[in-house]
Amino acid sequence: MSSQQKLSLRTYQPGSDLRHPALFLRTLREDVANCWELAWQLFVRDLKAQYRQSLLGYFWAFAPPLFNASIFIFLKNSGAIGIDDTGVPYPLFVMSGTLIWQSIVEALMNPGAGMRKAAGMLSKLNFPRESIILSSIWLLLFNVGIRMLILAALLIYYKVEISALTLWFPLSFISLLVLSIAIGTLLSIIGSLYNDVVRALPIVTQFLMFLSPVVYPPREGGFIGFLSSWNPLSPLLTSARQGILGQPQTFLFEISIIIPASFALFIFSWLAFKVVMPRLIERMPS
Amino acid sequence: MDKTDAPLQTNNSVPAKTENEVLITVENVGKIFCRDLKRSLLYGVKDSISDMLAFSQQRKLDDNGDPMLRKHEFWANKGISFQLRRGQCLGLIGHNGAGKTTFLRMVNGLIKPDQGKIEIRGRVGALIALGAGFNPVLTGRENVYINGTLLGMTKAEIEAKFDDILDFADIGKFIESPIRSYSSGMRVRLGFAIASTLNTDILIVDEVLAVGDFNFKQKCLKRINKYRENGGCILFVSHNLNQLQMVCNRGVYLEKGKMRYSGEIEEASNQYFEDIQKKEEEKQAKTSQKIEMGKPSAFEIIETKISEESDPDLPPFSKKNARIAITVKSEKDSIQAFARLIILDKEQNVRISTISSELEEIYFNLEKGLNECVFRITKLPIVPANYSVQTILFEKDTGANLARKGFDNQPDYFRVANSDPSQKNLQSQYGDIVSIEISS
Repeated sequence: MSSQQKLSLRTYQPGSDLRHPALFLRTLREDVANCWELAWQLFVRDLKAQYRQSLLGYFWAFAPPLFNASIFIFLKNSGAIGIDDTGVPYPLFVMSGTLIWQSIVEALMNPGAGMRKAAGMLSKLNFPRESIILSSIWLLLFNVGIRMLILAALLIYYKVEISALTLWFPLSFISLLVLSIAIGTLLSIIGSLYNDVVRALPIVTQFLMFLSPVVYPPREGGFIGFLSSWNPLSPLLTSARQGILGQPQTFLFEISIIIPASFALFIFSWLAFKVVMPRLIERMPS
Repeated sequence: MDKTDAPLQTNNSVPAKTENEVLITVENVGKIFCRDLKRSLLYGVKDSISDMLAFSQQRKLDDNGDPMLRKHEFWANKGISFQLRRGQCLGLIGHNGAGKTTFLRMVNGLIKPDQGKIEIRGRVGALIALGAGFNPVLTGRENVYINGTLLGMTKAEIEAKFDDILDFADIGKFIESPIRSYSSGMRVRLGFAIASTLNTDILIVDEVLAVGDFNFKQKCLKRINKYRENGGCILFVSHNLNQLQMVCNRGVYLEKGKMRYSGEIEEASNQYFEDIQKKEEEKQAKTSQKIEMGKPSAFEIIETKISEESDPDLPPFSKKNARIAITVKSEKDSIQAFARLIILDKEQNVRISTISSELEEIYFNLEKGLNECVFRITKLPIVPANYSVQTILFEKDTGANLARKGFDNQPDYFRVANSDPSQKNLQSQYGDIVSIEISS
């Protein structure tokens, strides 16, 4: 009942969308243009629903990393674990680490959680699928924002000085989030087929936290040093923290590779998500 | 779609030259599903990888050029072709699991066909999964905005249509309460109100009118009809054949995923109905054999046949009688009996009429062997459709029940056909025009 003369044409045929690049790009452009409002609505819906049925509300956005950090502060102070000199007061070090880490964990988990929550809608309604990922990104940014306030308070309390080196923080931290979201999106694809991903993710992220320099400073040699150098999160994490604490960057070479690679992976994960989506929806409970 | 388009109900500005344009083209469409979950997931991974690598030939083809099935796979849809233009409404008919919903999901672009091609011109709206994305904690008002956006409306569009949605959903002050406190009927009403406000070229309707009370159903049907008159085109799935015939003008009958018939809705539903009948008779034949062996009865109603019969003695315009012939097998001689017929809709939900030969003082004499008891009614004033009939035979003197048919076994069916095409529009509009031509 459009009064327009030209109607949009969509063609559905077998085979990969990538075989019709012009058509695929047009669909991508349309969907990206249309996904913003919906993503925002979904984000607001989830946020409202989450906090409307909660007494403590936003407390849960920053409670887990602070509890985590307090465990290590306690362990270190009681002498149960020995941690090398971090160059700054340990509570500041560990809290900045866990606050950043919690953001990574959420970036890894949010896309998958968003997909699971939206399975019923995805399998029945046609809407720009990007909005699921985008709304999980909004949710992430909201929680990150709250954590940044805590972090700012810590920096003021410990009188950390802002310098030009601080500029590394936004660059590294954003890249870190982009990388995590890309991995999270790819995991959500596998996770919507096999539920192993949902089960493994909390364990693996817990394990990864100890493999990454979150509660201890980065090591040069040894087993942990080896793992850190192969873990793409470690250099970015360290770089982000060095930025926020005003320390000189020690992983410039690594991050100069990892940062562009993160953005490339993000684009790839989005395309993969688009191309593969009909296969996933076919297998979702409807 | 223009954002400033008027809402569904008031829009009547269909440009003349595009009035008959084809909106949906379906060419030999097929879809393959896998019965086994583990394998289905494995195929999902494999297909996803080949999608990512953009392999040209994902499936091997057989000699006819058809894609070959892998282990545990089957065709959920096969060989479906049709075109649908503005102002047309196509009813999809078929048993549960015939592939109707699968097909609608392909048209809606949720899943991709494994064979053939679907071309969709214009925006698609779906009356499926009403209220999908409703969050139970949030209020009705908040959910209207979320659901509306999900269906592709902008915030401004929703605001403009909000009163209309509220009016149609008829849930009053509950709009400010969380959805979790709604009854299921209220939820569906709100969902329908939002989805049907959408201003799309194509509308997909899947079994949504199964819920809701009578008034609401009528309101929904009216809105759907209006939508078509305004130049939209509709794909409609319902198990209620009467509803389909009221709304649709074209029909596709799917059986086990394959297109058995495509054309007029009446013919599609007749074929479907005949198939049901055949199947039930086969089933009946099996079970009745068992019963017969167990318990022999002195009387048995073999068949009740209702057919038309021309009668020149009748006044014009009603020259046809309904001839009712009951075939009875008797093992006794000289029994005076009368018959009672109960006419129901074909699903045997609604009793339409009861006819008793006793009231007209018509009695039959049953002799040993096969008897045919015939009586007539002038005019059987019921609308063209398929009906079922239950028959009970009573003994005249004692009133004892001699035999029954159609209660715990297969009833007989008959069909009232529509010979006068001028009545068709009236019937589809009002659903209550009387027709008297009967065929069996």
